Amino acid sequence: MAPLISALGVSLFLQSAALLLFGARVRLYDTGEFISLRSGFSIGRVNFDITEIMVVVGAILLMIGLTMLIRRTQLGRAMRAVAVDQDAAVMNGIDVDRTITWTFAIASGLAGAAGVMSGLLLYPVDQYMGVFAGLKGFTAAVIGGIGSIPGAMLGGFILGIVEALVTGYLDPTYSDFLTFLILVVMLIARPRGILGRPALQKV
Amino acid sequence: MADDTTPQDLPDEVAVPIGTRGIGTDEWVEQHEARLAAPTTLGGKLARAWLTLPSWVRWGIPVALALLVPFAGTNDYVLRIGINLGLFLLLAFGLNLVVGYANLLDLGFVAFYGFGAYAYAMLSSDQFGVHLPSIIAIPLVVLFTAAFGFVLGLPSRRLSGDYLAIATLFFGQMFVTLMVSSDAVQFPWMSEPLDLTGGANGITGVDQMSFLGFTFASQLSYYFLILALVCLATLATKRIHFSRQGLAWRALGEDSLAAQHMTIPIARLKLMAITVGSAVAGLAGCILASVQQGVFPTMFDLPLLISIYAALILGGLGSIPGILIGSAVMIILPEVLRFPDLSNAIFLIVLIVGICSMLRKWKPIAIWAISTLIIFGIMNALFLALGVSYLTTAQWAKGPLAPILGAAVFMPKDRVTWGNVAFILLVVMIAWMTLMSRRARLIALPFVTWLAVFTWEVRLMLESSVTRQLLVGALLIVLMAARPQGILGKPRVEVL
Repeated sequence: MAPLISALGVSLFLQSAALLLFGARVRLYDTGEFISLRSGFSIGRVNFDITEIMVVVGAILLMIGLTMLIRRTQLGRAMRAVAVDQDAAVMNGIDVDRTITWTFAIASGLAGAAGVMSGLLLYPVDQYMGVFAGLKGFTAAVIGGIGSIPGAMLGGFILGIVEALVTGYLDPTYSDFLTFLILVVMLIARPRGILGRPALQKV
Repeated sequence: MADDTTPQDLPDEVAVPIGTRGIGTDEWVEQHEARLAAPTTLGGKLARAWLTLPSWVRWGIPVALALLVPFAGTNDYVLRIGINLGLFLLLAFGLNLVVGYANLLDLGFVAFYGFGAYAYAMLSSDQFGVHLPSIIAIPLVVLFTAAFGFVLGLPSRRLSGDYLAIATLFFGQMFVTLMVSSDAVQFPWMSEPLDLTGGANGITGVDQMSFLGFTFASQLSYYFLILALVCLATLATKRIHFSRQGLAWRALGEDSLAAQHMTIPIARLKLMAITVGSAVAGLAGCILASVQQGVFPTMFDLPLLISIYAALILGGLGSIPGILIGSAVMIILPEVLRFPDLSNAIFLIVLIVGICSMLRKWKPIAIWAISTLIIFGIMNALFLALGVSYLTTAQWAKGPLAPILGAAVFMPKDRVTWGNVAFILLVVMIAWMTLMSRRARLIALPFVTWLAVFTWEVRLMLESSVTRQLLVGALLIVLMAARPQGILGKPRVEVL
């Protein structure tokens, strides 16, 4: 319980620190100063925006990097070991605290990158923008299967498309509600997600 | 708690041969009473003195203090704080059942409070032109909230730990969003959108409560109503603690698998904890809507949730005096921040007492005090040498502490920029200090002390509402790192 409660504390601290440092005003990036907002190309009736392509490519690169990190490096192996069994990891000479610290640092860095990307797509920037983003990220991970990077990507795609469809055809207010319903249904019906493996638990 | 008494210091009669120990009692547990009887530190002696008082005195003192509140001050300000504290306590007792006993991390708890408040507001205001009498409306709302909690508790039987926490957090956040956005709901069978919740403006003009001809019109009447409810909740919690139900809840909280093996119906108990907890929150919500005569979506947002958790954890989960103390701190501290003199004094006292209790011995304390004074001098000289334009003492420092603060703190004219830089530096320094060796930490401490005082005076005093949230967040982080069981909680013994 302690990690979650201190995570809540950190989130409140960071939100109010942002409020203190930047003020309560909702802001937008001046993306147009670097890349003309009109730049892009179209194939048939589909328009491609340069910033959108940059964001997608950036996200894919980051995901490839993360996969490499988890699969190939010593740190990634340590992370996977700690995830399975902390005590066993300690006994095999893994510095659990250090691994967890690095995991948090990498995860926060990725969240920061996602924040910059959402700013580039001209979503409003304020100190509370992270709350729902974090919850939706968690939902995406649950849909795909916790612990699986392709699963998280798939979950993100599903969630994003569903939300876009709901916003377009029904009412934007209900997209959050729908995400919540998906989360609860997934957690009850198939907690391991679409691509996750069933967890073996020895009691 | 400087030095724990070592077994050798204890009286001889404590050392009983192993065979006579009870089941589940080891050496440490056995000597627990003896350790309590022979406190060595000042805090231990005080706690001992308090515990030797008869229990009616111990419970009488807080009640007497609460009865004195209406006589404090000339207007309703203190009374309002009392009412807020009472509502907060009701919530804390409700949440204590869920988190403290059953160990279900319910981060959507505040949504039930909001649900109760909104339901009461809808049933007795001009929003829909419905004005139910309180004697019907309140039981109805409490029932609704309990049913709502029951339904949302259903998934909790399958979810565990972090998953439950995040799902409920999502629910709590969604409640706020739904309340904000439900001001124009288009039902298929209606011709025009219906304003359900008043959106961001909330519902105003909620009726005062009234029972059997008595209308709660003044703050005083609400205060006594809430005081009675809090006393009731305290008694109920005290009764539950050792009841069959309470023992089962606590067993479930300690280890649900072991509890299940003891034939405790854990699914039913989890549901019951969430249902009862949300019913209490619903009742508190009714009173809130009636006291404020209005409900607004932002009242039920993350800061309130985190405050309640901070109160529970500060006092110690599952401990009744802990809940009372923690809640009092979480409600009164932010009010104190509104008064610059008081908040300055409290900040300095907490800083000095905190550092002294960290250093413990006289020599490092003396070294720290002297070097901090030198650092203050150096930094002020540095600022002057850099030619930063500043405010004179008379321009910013007021109150009895003004001469000391004015002489010690350099107040730059551009408070916001300097304060922001100092704030970032302070956070970085404190984070860095946790990684340092003890010696390096001692060397860094005077500088960090200066930085803390500078940041507080230059920037944080300017915006008390932000500071309050910053402090709550920081408090939670520090508590979780230093003493996760809280002030009065018992440390959790983990068996591997």
